[in-house]
Amino acid sequence: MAIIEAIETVYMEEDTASVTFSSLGSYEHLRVKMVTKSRSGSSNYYDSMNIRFGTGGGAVDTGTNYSIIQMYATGSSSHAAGAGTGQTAIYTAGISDSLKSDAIYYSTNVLDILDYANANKNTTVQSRYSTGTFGSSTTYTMIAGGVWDNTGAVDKFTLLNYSTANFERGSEFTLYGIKSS
Amino acid sequence: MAETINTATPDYIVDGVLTDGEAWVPLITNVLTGTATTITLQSTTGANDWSQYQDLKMIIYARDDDTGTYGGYLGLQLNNCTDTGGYNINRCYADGSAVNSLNFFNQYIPAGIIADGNQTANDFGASIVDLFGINSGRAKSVYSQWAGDDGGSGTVGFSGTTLRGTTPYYYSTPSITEIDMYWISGGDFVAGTRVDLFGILPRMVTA
Repeated sequence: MAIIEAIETVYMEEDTASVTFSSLGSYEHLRVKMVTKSRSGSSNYYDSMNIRFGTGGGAVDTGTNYSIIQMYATGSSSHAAGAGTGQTAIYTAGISDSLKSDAIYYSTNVLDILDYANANKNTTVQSRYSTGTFGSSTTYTMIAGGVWDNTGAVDKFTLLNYSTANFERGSEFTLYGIKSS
Repeated sequence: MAETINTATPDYIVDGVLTDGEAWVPLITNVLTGTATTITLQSTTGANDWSQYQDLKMIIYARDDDTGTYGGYLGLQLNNCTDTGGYNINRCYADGSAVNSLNFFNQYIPAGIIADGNQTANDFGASIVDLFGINSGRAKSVYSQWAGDDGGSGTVGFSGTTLRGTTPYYYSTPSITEIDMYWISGGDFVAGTRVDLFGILPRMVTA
Protein backbone atom coordinates (compact mmCIF):
# COMPACT_ATOMS: atom_id res chain seq x y z
CA MET A 1 0.00 0.00 0.00
CA ALA A 2 1.37 3.34 -0.98
CA ILE A 3 1.76 5.83 1.86
CA ILE A 4 1.99 8.94 -0.30
CA GLU A 5 -0.05 8.93 -3.50
CA ALA A 6 -0.28 11.53 -6.25
CA ILE A 7 -3.99 12.30 -6.51
CA GLU A 8 -3.91 14.80 -9.35
CA THR A 9 -1.42 16.88 -11.32
CA VAL A 10 -2.44 20.06 -13.10
CA TYR A 11 0.06 21.39 -15.61
CA MET A 12 -1.14 24.64 -17.14
CA GLU A 13 -0.75 24.70 -20.88
CA GLU A 14 -2.49 28.06 -21.01
CA ASP A 15 -2.99 30.95 -18.60
CA THR A 16 -5.67 30.00 -16.05
CA ALA A 17 -7.43 31.91 -13.28
CA SER A 18 -7.55 29.22 -10.61
CA VAL A 19 -7.21 25.56 -9.77
CA THR A 20 -9.88 23.61 -7.90
CA PHE A 21 -9.26 20.17 -6.46
CA SER A 22 -12.55 18.40 -5.72
CA SER A 23 -11.62 14.72 -5.72
CA LEU A 24 -9.68 14.54 -2.50
CA GLY A 25 -9.95 10.82 -1.79
CA SER A 26 -9.66 9.25 1.65
CA TYR A 27 -6.39 10.20 3.24
CA GLU A 28 -5.22 11.52 6.59
CA HIS A 29 -3.51 14.64 5.25
CA LEU A 30 -3.04 16.41 1.93
CA ARG A 31 0.04 18.04 0.44
CA VAL A 32 0.14 20.36 -2.57
CA LYS A 33 3.41 21.09 -4.36
CA MET A 34 3.26 24.07 -6.66
CA VAL A 35 5.56 25.90 -9.04
CA THR A 36 3.74 29.05 -10.11
CA LYS A 37 3.88 32.39 -11.82
CA SER A 38 1.18 35.09 -11.83
CA ARG A 39 0.19 37.24 -14.80
CA SER A 40 0.01 40.17 -12.38
CA GLY A 41 1.57 43.30 -13.81
CA SER A 42 2.33 44.62 -10.35
CA SER A 43 5.45 46.63 -9.60
CA ASN A 44 6.23 43.94 -7.03
CA TYR A 45 8.03 40.71 -7.87
CA TYR A 46 5.36 38.60 -6.17
CA ASP A 47 1.68 37.85 -5.96
CA SER A 48 0.35 36.09 -2.86
CA MET A 49 -1.67 32.94 -3.31
CA ASN A 50 -5.09 32.35 -1.80
CA ILE A 51 -6.72 29.11 -0.75
CA ARG A 52 -10.43 28.76 -0.03
CA PHE A 53 -12.19 25.64 1.24
CA GLY A 54 -15.57 24.06 0.66
CA THR A 55 -17.57 21.44 2.54
CA GLY A 56 -20.80 19.51 2.15
CA GLY A 57 -20.75 19.72 -1.62
CA GLY A 58 -21.24 23.49 -1.59
CA ALA A 59 -19.20 26.26 -3.13
CA VAL A 60 -15.91 27.32 -1.58
CA ASP A 61 -16.32 29.72 1.33
CA THR A 62 -15.64 33.35 0.37
CA GLY A 63 -16.68 34.75 3.75
CA THR A 64 -14.39 36.35 6.30
CA ASN A 65 -13.66 33.03 7.96
CA TYR A 66 -9.93 32.69 7.51
CA SER A 67 -6.88 33.63 9.58
CA ILE A 68 -3.20 33.69 8.69
CA ILE A 69 0.19 33.84 10.38
CA GLN A 70 3.57 34.19 8.70
CA MET A 71 7.33 34.62 9.16
CA TYR A 72 9.44 35.74 6.24
CA ALA A 73 12.64 37.18 4.91
CA THR A 74 12.81 39.53 1.95
CA GLY A 75 15.49 39.90 -0.65
CA SER A 76 16.53 43.16 0.93
CA SER A 77 17.70 41.19 3.96
CA SER A 78 14.92 42.21 6.30
CA HIS A 79 12.71 39.79 8.17
CA ALA A 80 9.38 40.07 9.87
CA ALA A 81 6.28 38.29 11.04
CA GLY A 82 2.61 39.01 10.62
CA ALA A 83 -0.87 37.74 11.31
CA GLY A 84 -4.43 38.52 10.33
CA THR A 85 -7.98 37.45 11.11
CA GLY A 86 -11.28 37.92 9.33
CA GLN A 87 -9.77 37.26 5.92
CA THR A 88 -11.71 36.06 2.88
CA ALA A 89 -9.01 33.47 2.14
CA ILE A 90 -5.78 32.13 3.55
CA TYR A 91 -3.51 34.36 1.50
CA THR A 92 -0.40 32.67 2.84
CA ALA A 93 -1.11 29.41 1.02
CA GLY A 94 1.77 30.19 -1.29
CA ILE A 95 3.33 32.79 -3.52
CA SER A 96 3.76 33.35 -7.25
CA ASP A 97 6.42 35.31 -9.07
CA SER A 98 4.79 38.18 -10.97
CA LEU A 99 5.53 39.27 -14.54
CA LYS A 100 8.16 41.61 -13.11
CA SER A 101 10.36 38.52 -12.68
CA ASP A 102 12.29 37.15 -15.64
CA ALA A 103 10.37 34.61 -17.70
CA ILE A 104 12.11 31.48 -16.40
CA TYR A 105 11.64 32.32 -12.71
CA TYR A 106 8.70 30.61 -11.04
CA SER A 107 7.99 30.34 -7.31
CA THR A 108 8.23 27.13 -5.28
CA ASN A 109 5.57 26.12 -2.77
CA VAL A 110 4.75 23.26 -0.42
CA LEU A 111 1.34 23.40 1.28
CA ASP A 112 0.14 20.86 3.87
CA ILE A 113 -3.55 20.57 4.75
CA LEU A 114 -3.90 18.59 7.94
CA ASP A 115 -6.69 16.20 8.94
CA TYR A 116 -8.86 17.72 6.20
CA ALA A 117 -11.59 15.07 6.34
CA ASN A 118 -12.28 15.48 10.06
CA ALA A 119 -15.74 16.95 10.68
CA ASN A 120 -14.99 18.21 14.20
CA LYS A 121 -11.93 20.40 13.72
CA ASN A 122 -11.27 23.68 11.99
CA THR A 123 -8.87 23.15 9.10
CA THR A 124 -5.27 24.27 9.60
CA VAL A 125 -2.64 24.56 6.88
CA GLN A 126 1.11 25.03 6.92
CA SER A 127 3.11 26.29 3.96
CA ARG A 128 6.72 26.89 2.95
CA TYR A 129 7.50 28.88 -0.13
CA SER A 130 9.80 31.19 -1.95
CA THR A 131 9.81 33.42 -5.00
CA GLY A 132 12.14 32.31 -7.75
CA THR A 133 13.59 35.81 -7.93
CA PHE A 134 15.60 37.33 -5.09
CA GLY A 135 17.34 40.57 -4.36
CA SER A 136 14.42 42.94 -3.82
CA SER A 137 12.27 44.09 -0.94
CA THR A 138 9.39 42.36 -2.75
CA THR A 139 10.99 38.93 -3.14
CA TYR A 140 10.35 36.46 -0.33
CA THR A 141 11.24 33.25 1.44
CA MET A 142 8.59 32.34 3.93
CA ILE A 143 7.02 29.87 6.35
CA ALA A 144 3.36 30.43 7.12
CA GLY A 145 0.13 29.00 8.43
CA GLY A 146 -3.58 29.59 8.30
CA VAL A 147 -6.92 28.42 9.62
CA TRP A 148 -10.38 28.05 8.11
CA ASP A 149 -12.88 28.59 10.92
CA ASN A 150 -15.23 25.84 9.88
CA THR A 151 -15.39 22.32 11.29
CA GLY A 152 -16.82 20.83 8.12
CA ALA A 153 -14.89 18.08 6.36
CA VAL A 154 -13.10 19.65 3.42
CA ASP A 155 -14.29 18.22 0.10
CA LYS A 156 -12.83 20.82 -2.24
CA PHE A 157 -10.46 23.74 -2.31
CA THR A 158 -9.49 26.42 -4.77
CA LEU A 159 -6.13 28.11 -5.29
CA LEU A 160 -5.90 31.50 -6.97
CA ASN A 161 -3.62 34.48 -7.01
CA TYR A 162 -4.38 37.22 -4.49
CA SER A 163 -4.55 39.80 -7.31
CA THR A 164 -6.95 37.45 -9.19
CA ALA A 165 -4.55 37.59 -12.15
CA ASN A 166 -4.22 34.34 -14.10
CA PHE A 167 -1.55 31.78 -13.38
CA GLU A 168 1.00 31.84 -16.20
CA ARG A 169 1.18 28.79 -18.43
CA GLY A 170 3.89 26.45 -17.22
CA SER A 171 2.59 26.67 -13.66
CA GLU A 172 2.26 23.26 -12.10
CA PHE A 173 0.24 21.83 -9.21
CA THR A 174 0.33 18.32 -7.78
CA LEU A 175 -1.96 17.16 -4.98
CA TYR A 176 -0.73 14.29 -2.81
CA GLY A 177 -2.62 12.21 -0.27
CA ILE A 178 -0.82 10.95 2.84
CA LYS A 179 -2.22 7.84 4.51
CA SER A 180 -2.06 6.88 8.16
CA SER A 181 -1.33 3.43 9.55
CA MET B 1 30.61 4.78 2.76
CA ALA B 2 27.64 2.44 2.52
CA GLU B 3 25.75 3.53 -0.55
CA THR B 4 22.53 2.00 -1.81
CA ILE B 5 21.30 2.97 -5.26
CA ASN B 6 17.90 1.88 -6.53
CA THR B 7 18.43 0.86 -10.16
CA ALA B 8 15.44 -1.50 -10.32
CA THR B 9 12.74 -1.07 -12.93
CA PRO B 10 10.50 1.76 -11.70
CA ASP B 11 7.46 0.44 -9.83
CA TYR B 12 5.09 2.59 -11.82
CA ILE B 13 5.72 0.41 -14.88
CA VAL B 14 3.84 -2.88 -14.44
CA ASP B 15 4.06 -5.29 -17.38
CA GLY B 16 4.76 -2.34 -19.62
CA VAL B 17 1.73 -0.40 -18.37
CA LEU B 18 1.87 2.95 -16.54
CA THR B 19 0.32 2.86 -13.06
CA ASP B 20 0.12 5.10 -9.99
CA GLY B 21 1.87 3.75 -6.94
CA GLU B 22 4.04 5.28 -4.24
CA ALA B 23 4.71 8.92 -5.14
CA TRP B 24 8.01 9.01 -3.24
CA VAL B 25 10.58 6.67 -4.75
CA PRO B 26 13.73 5.96 -2.71
CA LEU B 27 16.68 6.56 -5.02
CA ILE B 28 19.92 6.74 -3.04
CA THR B 29 20.88 6.23 0.59
CA ASN B 30 24.35 7.12 1.80
CA VAL B 31 25.48 6.28 5.32
CA LEU B 32 29.08 7.20 6.02
CA THR B 33 31.27 4.63 7.72
CA GLY B 34 34.20 7.04 7.81
CA THR B 35 34.83 10.70 7.12
CA ALA B 36 34.26 12.23 3.70
CA THR B 37 34.97 15.68 2.30
CA THR B 38 32.12 15.55 -0.20
CA ILE B 39 29.09 13.39 -0.87
CA THR B 40 28.03 13.11 -4.50
CA LEU B 41 24.62 11.91 -5.67
CA GLN B 42 24.18 11.19 -9.37
CA SER B 43 21.46 10.10 -11.73
CA THR B 44 22.15 6.63 -13.15
CA THR B 45 19.72 4.04 -14.48
CA GLY B 46 16.43 2.35 -13.60
CA ALA B 47 14.57 3.98 -10.74
CA ASN B 48 17.62 6.19 -10.14
CA ASP B 49 17.29 7.79 -13.57
CA TRP B 50 16.25 11.26 -12.40
CA SER B 51 14.83 12.27 -15.78
CA GLN B 52 11.52 10.57 -14.88
CA TYR B 53 10.79 12.64 -11.76
CA GLN B 54 9.02 15.92 -11.23
CA ASP B 55 10.93 16.86 -8.07
CA LEU B 56 13.62 15.53 -5.75
CA LYS B 57 13.65 15.51 -1.98
CA MET B 58 16.67 15.08 0.29
CA ILE B 59 16.55 14.13 3.96
CA ILE B 60 19.93 14.83 5.52
CA TYR B 61 21.21 13.99 8.98
CA ALA B 62 24.79 15.22 9.14
CA ARG B 63 27.67 16.49 11.23
CA ASP B 64 30.84 18.38 10.34
CA ASP B 65 34.13 17.65 12.14
CA ASP B 66 35.28 21.26 11.80
CA THR B 67 35.80 23.07 15.11
CA GLY B 68 36.03 26.61 13.77
CA THR B 69 33.69 29.40 14.77
CA TYR B 70 31.41 28.93 11.79
CA GLY B 71 31.43 25.15 11.49
CA GLY B 72 28.54 23.09 10.30
CA TYR B 73 27.49 25.23 7.34
CA LEU B 74 26.21 22.74 4.78
CA GLY B 75 26.18 23.55 1.06
CA LEU B 76 24.91 21.87 -2.10
CA GLN B 77 25.96 22.35 -5.70
CA LEU B 78 23.93 21.22 -8.71
CA ASN B 79 25.30 19.92 -12.02
CA ASN B 80 28.84 20.86 -10.96
CA CYS B 81 27.98 24.55 -11.01
CA THR B 82 30.73 26.08 -8.89
CA ASP B 83 30.39 29.60 -10.28
CA THR B 84 30.98 32.34 -7.76
CA GLY B 85 27.60 34.00 -7.67
CA GLY B 86 26.00 31.08 -9.47
CA TYR B 87 23.22 30.75 -6.90
CA ASN B 88 20.75 33.42 -5.84
CA ILE B 89 19.92 32.91 -2.16
CA ASN B 90 17.45 34.24 0.38
CA ARG B 91 18.04 32.84 3.85
CA CYS B 92 16.39 33.30 7.24
CA TYR B 93 17.38 31.64 10.50
CA ALA B 94 17.32 31.97 14.26
CA ASP B 95 20.40 31.15 16.33
CA GLY B 96 18.91 30.99 19.80
CA SER B 97 19.11 34.70 20.46
CA ALA B 98 18.11 36.52 17.29
CA VAL B 99 16.59 36.11 13.85
CA ASN B 100 18.84 36.81 10.90
CA SER B 101 18.07 37.18 7.22
CA LEU B 102 20.33 37.65 4.25
CA ASN B 103 20.05 37.86 0.49
CA PHE B 104 23.20 37.07 -1.43
CA PHE B 105 24.81 35.43 -4.45
CA ASN B 106 27.25 32.62 -3.84
CA GLN B 107 28.52 29.32 -5.20
CA TYR B 108 26.23 26.99 -3.23
CA ILE B 109 22.74 26.27 -2.00
CA PRO B 110 22.62 26.76 1.78
CA ALA B 111 21.21 23.57 3.28
CA GLY B 112 21.61 24.59 6.91
CA ILE B 113 23.92 25.63 9.69
CA ILE B 114 23.52 22.49 11.67
CA ALA B 115 26.16 20.49 13.56
CA ASP B 116 29.92 20.84 13.83
CA GLY B 117 32.80 19.50 15.86
CA ASN B 118 32.07 21.86 18.74
CA GLN B 119 28.72 20.35 19.52
CA THR B 120 27.90 17.67 22.01
CA ALA B 121 29.19 14.27 20.95
CA ASN B 122 26.75 12.34 18.77
CA ASP B 123 24.70 15.44 17.92
CA PHE B 124 23.72 15.56 14.27
CA GLY B 125 21.76 18.25 12.44
CA ALA B 126 18.70 17.76 10.26
CA SER B 127 18.05 19.32 6.88
CA ILE B 128 15.21 18.71 4.43
CA VAL B 129 15.70 19.98 0.90
CA ASP B 130 13.09 20.15 -1.88
CA LEU B 131 14.33 20.55 -5.45
CA PHE B 132 11.48 21.63 -7.70
CA GLY B 133 10.92 20.94 -11.39
CA ILE B 134 14.28 19.27 -11.92
CA ASN B 135 13.46 18.44 -15.55
CA SER B 136 11.48 21.57 -16.40
CA GLY B 137 12.54 24.43 -18.63
CA ARG B 138 12.09 26.82 -15.71
CA ALA B 139 14.92 28.06 -13.55
CA LYS B 140 15.75 25.39 -10.98
CA SER B 141 14.64 26.39 -7.49
CA VAL B 142 15.30 24.82 -4.13
CA TYR B 143 13.68 25.27 -0.72
CA SER B 144 15.56 24.01 2.34
CA GLN B 145 14.74 23.95 6.03
CA TRP B 146 16.95 22.82 8.87
CA ALA B 147 17.47 22.46 12.58
CA GLY B 148 20.61 21.84 14.60
CA ASP B 149 20.64 22.02 18.36
CA ASP B 150 23.74 22.95 20.32
CA GLY B 151 22.85 22.84 23.96
CA GLY B 152 20.00 25.29 23.48
CA SER B 153 21.61 27.40 20.79
CA GLY B 154 22.35 26.05 17.30
CA THR B 155 20.18 27.29 14.46
CA VAL B 156 16.82 26.67 12.88
CA GLY B 157 16.00 28.23 9.55
CA PHE B 158 14.87 28.09 5.97
CA SER B 159 16.07 29.36 2.64
CA GLY B 160 15.11 29.64 -1.01
CA THR B 161 17.69 29.40 -3.75
CA THR B 162 17.57 29.69 -7.52
CA LEU B 163 20.31 28.26 -9.69
CA ARG B 164 21.34 30.88 -12.21
CA GLY B 165 24.99 30.58 -13.21
CA THR B 166 27.07 33.63 -13.90
CA THR B 167 26.40 33.38 -17.60
CA PRO B 168 22.70 34.27 -17.46
CA TYR B 169 20.55 31.14 -17.38
CA TYR B 170 23.43 28.93 -18.46
CA TYR B 171 22.87 26.50 -15.61
CA SER B 172 19.25 27.24 -14.97
CA THR B 173 17.34 25.22 -17.50
CA PRO B 174 19.22 21.90 -18.00
CA SER B 175 17.86 18.94 -16.03
CA ILE B 176 19.46 18.23 -12.67
CA THR B 177 21.64 15.11 -12.85
CA GLU B 178 24.11 15.62 -10.00
CA ILE B 179 24.12 16.98 -6.45
CA ASP B 180 27.33 17.54 -4.50
CA MET B 181 27.29 18.13 -0.76
CA TYR B 182 30.12 19.74 1.17
CA TRP B 183 30.80 21.91 4.21
CA ILE B 184 31.11 25.54 3.22
CA SER B 185 32.73 26.09 6.59
CA GLY B 186 35.38 23.45 5.91
CA GLY B 187 35.92 20.07 7.49
CA ASP B 188 34.58 16.63 6.66
CA PHE B 189 31.34 14.76 7.11
CA VAL B 190 31.73 12.43 10.08
CA ALA B 191 30.87 8.74 10.20
CA GLY B 192 27.17 8.22 10.74
CA THR B 193 26.17 11.08 8.46
CA ARG B 194 23.16 9.95 6.45
CA VAL B 195 21.57 11.21 3.24
CA ASP B 196 18.38 9.84 1.70
CA LEU B 197 17.34 11.00 -1.76
CA PHE B 198 13.79 10.51 -3.06
CA GLY B 199 12.31 11.06 -6.50
CA ILE B 200 8.85 12.64 -6.43
CA LEU B 201 6.41 11.53 -9.10
CA PRO B 202 3.40 13.46 -10.37
CA ARG B 203 0.04 11.80 -11.02
CA MET B 204 0.91 9.30 -13.75
CA VAL B 205 -2.51 8.15 -14.93
CA THR B 206 -5.69 10.16 -15.40
CA ALA B 207 -7.79 9.79 -12.27
